[in-house]
Amino acid sequence: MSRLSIEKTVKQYVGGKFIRSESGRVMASTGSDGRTVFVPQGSRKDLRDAVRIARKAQGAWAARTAYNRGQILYRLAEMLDGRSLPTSEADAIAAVDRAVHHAGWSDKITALLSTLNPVSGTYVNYSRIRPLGVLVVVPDPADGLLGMVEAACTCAVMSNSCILVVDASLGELAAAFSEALHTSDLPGGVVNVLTGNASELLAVASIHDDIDGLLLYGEQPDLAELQTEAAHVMRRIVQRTSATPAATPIELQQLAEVQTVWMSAYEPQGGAAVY
Amino acid sequence: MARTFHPADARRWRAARVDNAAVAQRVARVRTRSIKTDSKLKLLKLALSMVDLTTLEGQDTPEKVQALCRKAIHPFLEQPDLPHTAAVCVYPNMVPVAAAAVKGSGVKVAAVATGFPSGQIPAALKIEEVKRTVAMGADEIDMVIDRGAFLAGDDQKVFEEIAMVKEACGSARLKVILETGELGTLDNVAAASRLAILAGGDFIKTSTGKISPAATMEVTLVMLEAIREHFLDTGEMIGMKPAGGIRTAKQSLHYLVLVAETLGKAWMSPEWFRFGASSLVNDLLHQIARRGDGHYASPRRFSVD
Amino acid sequence: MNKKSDPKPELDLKGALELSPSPERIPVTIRERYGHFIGGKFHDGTDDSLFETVNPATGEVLAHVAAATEAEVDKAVASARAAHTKVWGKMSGAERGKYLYRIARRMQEKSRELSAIETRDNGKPIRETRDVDIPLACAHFFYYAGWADKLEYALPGRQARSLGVAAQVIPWNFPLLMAAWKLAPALATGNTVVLKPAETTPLTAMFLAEILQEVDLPPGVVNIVNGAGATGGALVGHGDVDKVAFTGSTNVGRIIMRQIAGTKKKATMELGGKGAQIVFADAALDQAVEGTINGIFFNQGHVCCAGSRLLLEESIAEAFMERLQRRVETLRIGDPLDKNTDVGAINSAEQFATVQRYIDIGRSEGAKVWQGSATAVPDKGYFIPPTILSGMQQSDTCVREEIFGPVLSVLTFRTPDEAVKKANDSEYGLAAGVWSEKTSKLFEVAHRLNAGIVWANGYNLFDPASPFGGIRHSGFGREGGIAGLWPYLEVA
Repeated sequence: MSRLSIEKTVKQYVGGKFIRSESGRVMASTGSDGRTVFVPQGSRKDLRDAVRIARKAQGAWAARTAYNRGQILYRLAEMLDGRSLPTSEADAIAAVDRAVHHAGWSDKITALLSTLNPVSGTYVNYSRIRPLGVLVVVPDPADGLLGMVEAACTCAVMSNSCILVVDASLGELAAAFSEALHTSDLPGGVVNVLTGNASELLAVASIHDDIDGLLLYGEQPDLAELQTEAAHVMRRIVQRTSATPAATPIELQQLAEVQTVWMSAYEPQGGAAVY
Repeated sequence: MARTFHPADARRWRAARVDNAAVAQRVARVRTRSIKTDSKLKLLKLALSMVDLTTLEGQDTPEKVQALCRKAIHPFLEQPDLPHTAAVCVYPNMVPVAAAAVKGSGVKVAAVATGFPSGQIPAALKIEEVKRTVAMGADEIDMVIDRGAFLAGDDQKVFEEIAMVKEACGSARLKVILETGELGTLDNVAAASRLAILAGGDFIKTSTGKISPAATMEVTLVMLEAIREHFLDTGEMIGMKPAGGIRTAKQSLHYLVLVAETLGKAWMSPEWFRFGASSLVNDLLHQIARRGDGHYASPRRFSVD
Repeated sequence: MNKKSDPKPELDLKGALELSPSPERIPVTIRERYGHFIGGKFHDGTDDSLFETVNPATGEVLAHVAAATEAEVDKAVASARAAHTKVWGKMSGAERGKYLYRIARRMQEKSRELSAIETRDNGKPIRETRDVDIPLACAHFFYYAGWADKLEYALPGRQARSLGVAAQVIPWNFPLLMAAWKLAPALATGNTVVLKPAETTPLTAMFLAEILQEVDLPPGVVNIVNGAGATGGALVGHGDVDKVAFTGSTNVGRIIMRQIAGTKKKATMELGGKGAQIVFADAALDQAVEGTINGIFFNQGHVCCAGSRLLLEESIAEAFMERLQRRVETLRIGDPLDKNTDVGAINSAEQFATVQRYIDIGRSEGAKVWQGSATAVPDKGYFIPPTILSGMQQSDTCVREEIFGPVLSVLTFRTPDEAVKKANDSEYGLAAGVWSEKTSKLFEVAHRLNAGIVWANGYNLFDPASPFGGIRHSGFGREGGIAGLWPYLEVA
């Protein structure tokens, strides 16, 4: 006689905690081994709560040293590597290597994108890279775990906090990913994972004024609506065709802002000093 | 009664802070003031009346000083209605000659003293020099501060010397030369200005004219701001004198714009503002004459002495 | 010594400097009528919706201008497309750069006439156009000219290519400078352009078009269509445009973004602002006064990054206000063509009414209204003297909304934290200023301000090498510096 399996309900991951949807609703999805997995159907309130929590966490994340952020993202790779994951081996390996890759950007990317600008006048003028803030990210289900890692790491390495909106069909994988996030020392709220109907949640996000950007992978049938709503707050909408190539520096820059600072500099009396 | 030094005051004047880039911007804007026609002529004449016509050379002789005084009284014989300069400025030994030469003309006799230009002689000798110079007929004394003591942080020494010199001046007006070119920073210029004012100076003056840089519009602005602050705190007016390096009429007019826009009408007179200069006079005359007859004169039209 | 009961000593600043008129006399050539510049040629345009451009200081009509129809916009876009496909998109970067250098030099040679035209059309003082607007416009072309053949360094690790045809809509506050900010990076990166100047200030763009002809810029690389909202809408909405660049109000920015939603058009938006200048007690106070004046009164507050909010540390607030008012009383308001004028005319009747309305709202919300100047406000033309509103609260209309006039709203704070919080309490995020002599505080505060540009011990400083642009409702994308190239390139 075959053993009765334990039906699984996975949870969303918000603020460092595993939570159900406040709506109580779940969607049935098929797990990697063919079993049924119940996946929370993220609601409008889930999203609002997640945004609030992400906003709160973002400042402290950005205030950490770049070194520290890199160590944490590397630890994500540590936690993913060798773990049993409901996805193909190729996908798992690619995801781990990608986490390592982006961890390495943490203490370098701003040096690459920042500039010291040679202005006319006695000023030290520099452009620094600042985070965008809170992003809602929709990975392409076709990109699997790599898509989630790419989404989360690119946002986090630029000091943003993010809310991944994962289609219910990848609910089990999203939960596994969340477990890795949880054990990686990532502060709660920096990367959050909601599951359910991605396009519904995205529509909710599009009218939430406290979201600074949308990062969208793959085809976007609702793009026109999203852009129309984004106009209200000048929200950035960044599109990527696929997570397969790692985001390049210029693509990472799109998840950040340029802040230019002019510092009045001292000029000695009698003209430029000769040393 | 010589004024008393208070450490609390010193802490306050040493806390003065100036932003260089913003001062440079303000000065650049003042230089864009376009002064034409009637307003120009008025300001040129005002500038002329504010000059302390100066000779401070080792080779000065009585004849030289007498020629200077004649020029101070009648800058340009072709236009006898032009104002005389505010003063002549000479070394102590030349004071009797100057006093006799300008007697009755309204031109004051200013003399440098206190070990000019370095100031590196004992305090007692500085006081003695001032007393004798005033006794010889000086209406105004231009003293130098002890820059070494200032840069070493000994504000009390600097203060007390000024206070004692002021006492020794009696009824003579005291101009305190900060020698801004040696002070290094505009913060120091701001501090030294306030120190000199509180110690008893009637005027604060930029430079001896013996080193470079001498007067600049930047240090002048900082000094005018110190004077303004003092006036608003106490109601007391203090005069200001940029000296050295002001050679053209255009420059002098820009200084006057700075005075007008920082301190206002009351300071626009020789009583409260002076130019320490010599060749400036001829350029002023050049501009004044031009306004008069429309011709662009040759420099030879104006006497060298 | 003064006792508190004694009358306070007063300076007589207002009448201290008598200056005779000193007008800029260079003769300018302004045609009676302007149309459009399409395919390298001047076209008269249609008579249907002719409008006037007026000198706001005198009310004099300077010229009549045609508004481009949809058909004319279409012609301009087609011309830009052809030029991109056949000529400009194929040209080497080095050659493109040489055209831009030529343009920069010609503009320099004609600076004086350009300033005089700009002042007549816009109303800002000749000193501003002569010393700021026109030199910066030339510098912008110089700067981007040198990038044209170095684009392989613009996107780290990637090959770059131009987007195609850019539709650019610019405002009236810095007409020629805004044209330079739009044209120079677009052209350097190999794009072609259709530009629409603001309807109240088309003249220097038309003069620039003559320069473009003189330097033999290939026809169609730059096209200029005149008109107002309808023309702008037609241009931005045209199907064959790859990129939209807009500088103007946040409201119009929203309209444009909605209009292009769902298309593949890339965009940059440079929108409104409500800049805050923070003055700490340990600031160089007299220089902070200069910065305050610089931020809001020169150029009549017609700057998106204007320092229109003043946040004073409470311990020095009263004394600072006195210093500020004294300095404002030396500002000369009057004929913009006079070289001594500090504060010129408001750009239009419409803007004049808007600013007056805000002053009235401020008064009704309980603000204390103070106005001052060294000279009398002219009774002809649109002039508003420097205005300071004090006793304000964070929620007051004049603290939250962009006025775009010479009106400063003053608030106080107690600690650096509070200063940052109040400064960031805005939906805008374009520019801010900080004044302090303590370096560590400057860095900390500057970096925490939610603004795309922060000036520390300065304000309203611009340079082509320095990226400019905002966050949140102030828009996105940068103009100037390397970051100014990014909006006009894509990965090849």
